[in-house]
Amino acid sequence: MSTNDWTELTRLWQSDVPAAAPALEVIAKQQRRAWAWRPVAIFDVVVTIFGVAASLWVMMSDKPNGAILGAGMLALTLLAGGASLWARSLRRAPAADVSVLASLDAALHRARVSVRYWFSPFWVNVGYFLFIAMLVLITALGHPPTSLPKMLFAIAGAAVWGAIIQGVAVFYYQARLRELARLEELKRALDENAP
Amino acid sequence: MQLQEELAALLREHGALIVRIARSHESDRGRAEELVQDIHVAIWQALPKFRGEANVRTYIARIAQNRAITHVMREARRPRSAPLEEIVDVLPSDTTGPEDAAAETETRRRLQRAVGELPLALRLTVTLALEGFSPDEVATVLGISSSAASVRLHRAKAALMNKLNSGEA
Repeated sequence: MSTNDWTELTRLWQSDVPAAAPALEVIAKQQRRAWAWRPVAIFDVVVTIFGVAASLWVMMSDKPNGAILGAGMLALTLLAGGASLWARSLRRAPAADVSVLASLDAALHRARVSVRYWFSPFWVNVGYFLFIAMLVLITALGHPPTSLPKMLFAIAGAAVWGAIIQGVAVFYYQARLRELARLEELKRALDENAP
Repeated sequence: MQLQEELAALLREHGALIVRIARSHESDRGRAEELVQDIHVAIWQALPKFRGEANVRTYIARIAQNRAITHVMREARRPRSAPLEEIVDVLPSDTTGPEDAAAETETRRRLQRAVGELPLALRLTVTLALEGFSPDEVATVLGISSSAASVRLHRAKAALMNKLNSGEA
């Protein structure tokens, strides 16, 4: 490749193209969207507080097996809250406007948080299903045979709900894993020592 | 309001650079426009942090390339329902005669296509080189050392010329 070839290509490339007008409406919309993660975090905190309050209320009520139910609910709530906290506990990535590699690091950080976030329901669901199993046991032992089918039907419903939540979490977890893999591949390609 | 005026002034000066970078990563006209808007938004968000330590053109190129990468990653998981629409602008030319102008437009179209077909790491580099950035500036934008930038520039230019000469583009 001669210098002339490259100079000609550069001239051709830099030939004038129409500059787009500033996207002021989009800017306003983006500014609102930047807060999107905050409601999710606030929602997690509110649900945890509500869950703890409800668990304590059930524990202190005079319902049959109230103490066990309440303790189970409390354990599940704390597990879910802890999982959410764990997902966000990754060290913060550097600012995104430093360089392309730094920006990629920030994107990798977000992808890792996202992967953790969608992995955490797995452990919550393990706890949830243990709780359901415990309920089945308590119900089978402590209730007269006449009310048993009704109780087991309700428990089966709860188990199906848990399975649906797990299915959704697995779907998003796999999607985030694929995104993370793409970003890691890109990082390898852009890295200083890339071949 | 002052920030918006500042942004408008910056885009008047560097708007073409942004459009060209966007088009090097996205050959569909509509999506390229979306990407340009994304880059405008990113520049607007980054402006308050800009202290003038870096060259403003380098700063804008860096933000544009960052947004372009995000766009490429997003598009990788978004199905394309229609064939891509080629972006060919009728551009002002200093050549004489309609035949020269047509030939130049065709060469520019081939160049755009060849750049767009390069692997992302080389595309990022070659776009900056075509914009006239020095190896040091390319290194700053990409966040790699000057020597690594020089090696990659050499490789990217060779890959581009190879594509153009082999008639792949």
